[in-house]
Amino acid sequence: MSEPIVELRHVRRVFEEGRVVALDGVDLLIEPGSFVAITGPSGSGKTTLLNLMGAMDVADEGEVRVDGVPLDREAALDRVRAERIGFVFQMHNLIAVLDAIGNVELPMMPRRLPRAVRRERALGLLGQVGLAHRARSSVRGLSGGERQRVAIARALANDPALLLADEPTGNLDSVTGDAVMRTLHDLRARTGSALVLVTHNEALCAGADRHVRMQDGRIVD
Amino acid sequence: MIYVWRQLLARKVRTLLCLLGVAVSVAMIVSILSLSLGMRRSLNRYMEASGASLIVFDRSAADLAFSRVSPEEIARLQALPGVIEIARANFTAVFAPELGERERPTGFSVIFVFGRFFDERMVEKYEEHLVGGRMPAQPSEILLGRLVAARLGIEVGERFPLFREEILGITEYEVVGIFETELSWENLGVVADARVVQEKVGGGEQYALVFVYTHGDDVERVRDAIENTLPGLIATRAGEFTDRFSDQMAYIDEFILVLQLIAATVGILGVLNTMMMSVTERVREIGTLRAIGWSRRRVVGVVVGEGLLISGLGGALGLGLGVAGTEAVIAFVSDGLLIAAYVLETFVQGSLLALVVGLVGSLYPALRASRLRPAEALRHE
Repeated sequence: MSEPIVELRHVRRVFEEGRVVALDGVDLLIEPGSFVAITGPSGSGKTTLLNLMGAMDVADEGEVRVDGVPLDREAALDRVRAERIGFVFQMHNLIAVLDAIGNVELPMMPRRLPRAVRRERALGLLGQVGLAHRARSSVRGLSGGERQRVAIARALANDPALLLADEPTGNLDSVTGDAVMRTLHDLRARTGSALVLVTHNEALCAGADRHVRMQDGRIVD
Repeated sequence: MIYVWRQLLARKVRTLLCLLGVAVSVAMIVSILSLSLGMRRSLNRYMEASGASLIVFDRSAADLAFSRVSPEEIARLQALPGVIEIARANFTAVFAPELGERERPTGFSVIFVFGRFFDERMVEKYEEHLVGGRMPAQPSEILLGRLVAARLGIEVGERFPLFREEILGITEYEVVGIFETELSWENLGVVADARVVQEKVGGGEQYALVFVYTHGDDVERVRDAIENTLPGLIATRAGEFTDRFSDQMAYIDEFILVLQLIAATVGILGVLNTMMMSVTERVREIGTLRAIGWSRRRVVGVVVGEGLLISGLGGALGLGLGVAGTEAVIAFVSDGLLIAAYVLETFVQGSLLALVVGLVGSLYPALRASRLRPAEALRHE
């Protein structure tokens, strides 16, 4: 059996000086290349869990590892985010002052790749999400679905082993949302990345290797 | 770099205002330094034009206006071996709009009065620069600088009430000649008999400057002799006058330093304000950059880069504005009386000021931005 891409052991995360317990003793293993869906009511700890897996936050107690790297030091968090994780947000979070291709290039900048290499790779990724023709378009000129596809291309820029998506269709109509999910699944299949999807929409969980249900900061199923 | 550039272009008005703030700070420094250097150099040139080997003045004087060399000291000077000749000088200044019936509006309302003995060598240089008339020979005769003559409409042969009071029995002076030298402020001067000026200034017989003439080989030896024999005096080569006078002129340097600090503070506050606003508005964006793998150092680099780009462009504009502004002040405000000297050191100093402003002004916002946890930043509304 291969080493899990994500490993959480007895993880606890609190806010407001302990008054709000977001995660309470969570254990979770995610296999490389798998598709894991996380659902639960608002405030159940889904996004906090995703942030810990995404090296965007640090647990108060317990251990979080991504690809075997313990996420307990700031330098490790930065490196893991840059090299192993791709993030798709509910609000695409594209940089408005850049065009589509400029946004896809952003995660590659810390790797000091030559600009031409970055450009070529970004264009290839935009092609994979069907937006090569909009490479030079301003973010403001893209539709909601197009923006989210650009965000997916950006998330894949550094060949992440782990793709994290937080309500990626939450702000899209159902047709566009379905198209975005198809794109995510196609790319996951092509790249072999593990996909962790946080959603309220149970329908999006179809085909998941594991469906994690959360409530009050705990995994209940 | 493209990201940094586009961030600035996305907030054009704010960027432009901040850039102008830095530019004005840098321009002010360039202008002050250039004018200060120009005036020092012109003062050196004025001393060199005397043809004297050494200039002697009062070591304790905080300003040339307060320099006093007594007749006793001058007698001892003259007796030193190697001294061929000396020339005594004093000076004052009169307010031009108080010049009685001949009053005309002038751009610069002060007239310098150079007191000289007409039979001493120092006055010879004006003979070379006469543009009309002859050299004065008596206390009731004066030479007018070309600017004074032109602005007050006085011609050779006319009489001029220089001090508007009777001094040594003289009320009106006969303008016997008009001179023009290469130094504009000197052309706004009057050469009068040293005894008249001395009487006007008061305090008995004493002189602000003594010009000492020696043979070329004797200069250093005579200088040492003067300073050893008369420790209350400073003797300096004409071309080094402002350097030797630097202790007395230190207050000018201190004034310039204070202005530099004010300019730097204003510039830093401008950049700080702009970058703080920019960072505060972009919390989510910075969170996104951190989430997609940008390190704290890279975020600091971007914010500082924006600050440096603003200050760099502002600095470049400021260097140009500084020169243009200085020339405008010289031409339109001082009527050509001020003199500026532009040297590389001034532009380097202006550029450094801009870089310090950009660096210091953006560092705190950059560090604040970099300290944001991505998860926390992405929750920001």
